Amino acid sequence: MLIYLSILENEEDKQSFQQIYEENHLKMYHVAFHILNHQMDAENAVHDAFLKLAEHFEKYRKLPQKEMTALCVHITKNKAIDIVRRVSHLSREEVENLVLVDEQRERQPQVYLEQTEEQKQIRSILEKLPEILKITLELKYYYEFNNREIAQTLGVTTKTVEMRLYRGKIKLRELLENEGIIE
Amino acid sequence: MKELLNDMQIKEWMERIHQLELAGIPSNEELKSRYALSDSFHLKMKKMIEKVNKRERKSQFLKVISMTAAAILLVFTILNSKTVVNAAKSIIEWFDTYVSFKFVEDAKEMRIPQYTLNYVPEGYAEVMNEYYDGTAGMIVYEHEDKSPLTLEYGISDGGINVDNEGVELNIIQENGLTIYFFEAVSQEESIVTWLSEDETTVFTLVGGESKEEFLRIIKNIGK
Repeated sequence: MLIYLSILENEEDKQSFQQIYEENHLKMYHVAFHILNHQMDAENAVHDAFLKLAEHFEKYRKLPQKEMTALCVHITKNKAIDIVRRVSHLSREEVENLVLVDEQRERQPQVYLEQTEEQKQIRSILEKLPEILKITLELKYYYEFNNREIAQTLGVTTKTVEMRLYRGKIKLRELLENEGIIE
Repeated sequence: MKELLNDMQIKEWMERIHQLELAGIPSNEELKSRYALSDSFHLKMKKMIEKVNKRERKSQFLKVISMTAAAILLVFTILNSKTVVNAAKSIIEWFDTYVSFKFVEDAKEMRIPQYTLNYVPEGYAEVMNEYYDGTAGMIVYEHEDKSPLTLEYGISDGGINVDNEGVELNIIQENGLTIYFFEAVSQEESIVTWLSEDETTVFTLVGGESKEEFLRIIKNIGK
């Protein structure tokens, strides 16, 4: 199957590792720094994220540029949360309940105020959905990774992925109910 | 009556969340004026990129060699998705990395009981047992060697996806059930999924045990 895809694919469509680095390393650093507030830790998180990308580069490089950026950001956030967990000795439950402050709302309050009601509702969900559960759900339902690929991307076991997906679905449902979007 | 979200609903919401997140990331121009990364970071990254490029060049060379042989196989290669029709009442689609099941169109019951595993192989201890408001549940056992055994169940009209990489599918008829057994070949865990006899509940069992142990576990699932 891989050989079949390789024959039909246009080589130019695939991004090089250099291109991915050039386009994304500052964005990755930005999200890592927002979580860690420490230059060296944030650089380490970005470096670790690129190591993870390099491990499964053949799979990821086929993604369009915007999706690649989002994936880079997700992997970096996961690595940054790993650092937080190690430094702060957080339990598994505390890590899975970790919610990050909405950085865009802080940085661009005017932009936030101009958003539609639906965008505000989605943002409200985004702010309350624990980061690790959100990343896991996005990898599964947006990127359509299977559980093993998610486990490899996040550096956890497939059992952990299954539990996070289960908890993520429950949490997402609760948040949608609280927003009055579903009954 | 509360239900867990189905896969399509979750996909829809994750797409919206994803778009909003993307919109919130600042541009590179803005970030360049804000941050100055260290020389040691740039050096580490330069070495990593060189290593990846070297690996990439080697991989391309090997691909050219294999393309000749692959051209013959191309005619017989299966395309991206293949539909398998009417396998024991389930609608199944095969994709590259997963199989999509939908056992029934409309659920017979909107509330299902909580289940237990009345038999697990030796060496396992229960680490989690969750039951969500009458619509779904999850039980996790962990072996002394830390390997897990996981049972998930839910109301029957939900679609489910089962990973199909590194596994071989056997369809087994046992005690009135049609059991889809994805036996591990090149990965550690096998995956089993089936619809209950009364067609109210879909079960998925994941673990590293043998087929015989899986069947024994399934036979002894109780309410």
